[in-house]
Formats: sequence, structure tokens, C-alpha cells
Amino acid sequence: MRVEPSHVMMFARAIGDLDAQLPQLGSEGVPVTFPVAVAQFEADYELRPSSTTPWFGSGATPGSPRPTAVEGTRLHAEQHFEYHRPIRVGEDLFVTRAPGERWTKVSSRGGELEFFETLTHVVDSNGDPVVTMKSVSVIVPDRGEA
Amino acid sequence: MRKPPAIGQRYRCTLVTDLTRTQIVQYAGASGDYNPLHTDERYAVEVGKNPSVFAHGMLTSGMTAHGLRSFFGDAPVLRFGGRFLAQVWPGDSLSLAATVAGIEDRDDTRVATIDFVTTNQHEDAVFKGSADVALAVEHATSAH
Repeated sequence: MRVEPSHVMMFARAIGDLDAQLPQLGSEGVPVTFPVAVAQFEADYELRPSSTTPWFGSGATPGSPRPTAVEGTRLHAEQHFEYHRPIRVGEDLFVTRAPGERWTKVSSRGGELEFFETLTHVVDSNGDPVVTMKSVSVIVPDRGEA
Repeated sequence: MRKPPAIGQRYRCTLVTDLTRTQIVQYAGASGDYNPLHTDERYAVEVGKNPSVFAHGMLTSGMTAHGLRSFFGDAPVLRFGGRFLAQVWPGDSLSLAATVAGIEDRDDTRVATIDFVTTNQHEDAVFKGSADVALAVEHATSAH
């Protein structure tokens, strides 16, 4: 992923920095949560229309459940960022993902909640760590997809 | 010039008033998360069985991180994270409350730990977490 100035500006505006302007190359003024936008560069990212898989959103019909829908409701429960150094506008970053821990917990309503972590390691062109992200998702029984 | 934070110091700001579907769409385009639950009303209601589209959790998280910048400026953020507690809907208004929970020196950096909670117009918490912010970097020198 290349940290493009225009992408940083659009991301900043979307999170409420309405007057964000094009940042200078080398600037460290990159929004803290910007690394989630690596999704734009993932070849098989399921939440972006692709040429190989029919899109599941509405058109002539309301659409269909997400292809990887699970039984129950999948919720984004937590998201964490640990910075090893600031991201610089213009640099190239490289991303690897790995599954983290999985565990279950009984909810206050008596159902079983299944939690699972995904770790995303972002490094620079020297292989030095820049940011580590941890996402925790939970599958809750008995609701629709979310 | 900002006053250096002290332990126990509290901050508060408005993150958004009357969240629009357009901002949710802006976030989908910028982040790359085009899940129709967030941007496609017909899908969200008829397939997702939700009352309407709703904001990405990471939009709330991103607005929260941006709100922290209004307190601490461009101070580098070393750690940021939290738990999503409730969905955020179009029309919601969000506020951020933050408290300096601790200050410590790590090597040449003074680090403030900030506990924060983002609430909606009903005072319900929607996102809660903490962050470590580097307040100042002392440039060490070997000169004596």
C-alpha cells in the first residue's frame, strides 16, 4: 500500500476533518486509524465489488446475505492500533494478516459468544514495524447479519 | 500554546451533530469498506433486518481519534483502541469525553495515557477505550 496524499486527505475528511487539505510528502499527519484503509489494496477483500464475485448489495432486488455470512450476527467488537513509529505520507507499507486468539464466553442472556482476533502487521520497505492492528470480532447468536 | 495535561484533567468535544448518510458513504469510499449494511438502505433494512443503514464502527473510532487531536494537537499517538458498545445511526450526535489517566516518562518521551468514551445524544456509550499520546520528545545530547 502506498500512502497517497489524496487518499489521506479523503480519509481525514471522512472522519470529520472537513477542511483537510492535501498533505505534503513526508508529513506525519496521517489519521491514527488510516491503516484500516489497507482494505483498498487487498486483492480478495469481500466488502468491495469485484469482477469475479457477484455483489450482494441491492440493485433490482434487495440483495442477498453476505457470502461469508455466519449463523448469528458478526460484530466488530474491538479495534486496537499500536504504533512503532508514525506513518509518513508517500511511503510504501506492506501488510500481513494472521489469526489471533479465539475464545468463547457465555452472554448475560445465556447464549454463547464466539470471539476471534485478527492481527495485522504493517511494516515499511525495510521490513521495520510501523503499526500493529488487532481486531476482535464476535459472533452473537439469534440476530441478523451486521 | 496548549497547557501541558495533568493527571485527572478532563476534555470534552462534539464529534458530529446529526450524522449524515453522506458522511457514512464518504467513509466507505475512503476506507474501502463498502459493506452495503452501511451504505445501502434497501439492503440494510430488507436483508440485514436493521432499522436503517448504520455507521461503520471504524467511522466512530476514526472520529474519536480525530477528536483527541483537538485536545493534543499533532502529538504522536503511540497506542489507540477501544470497544464498540452500540451501533451509531444516521441522525446521531456524538460527543467525546477524555480524561488523563496517567503520565509517565518512557526513555526520552513523556507519555500521557488517556481514557475516553464516545457517547450519543442519549448519553449512551458507543465506543470506549484508551490511548497513549507522546507529549514531548527530549532530544538527548552527549554534550556536557
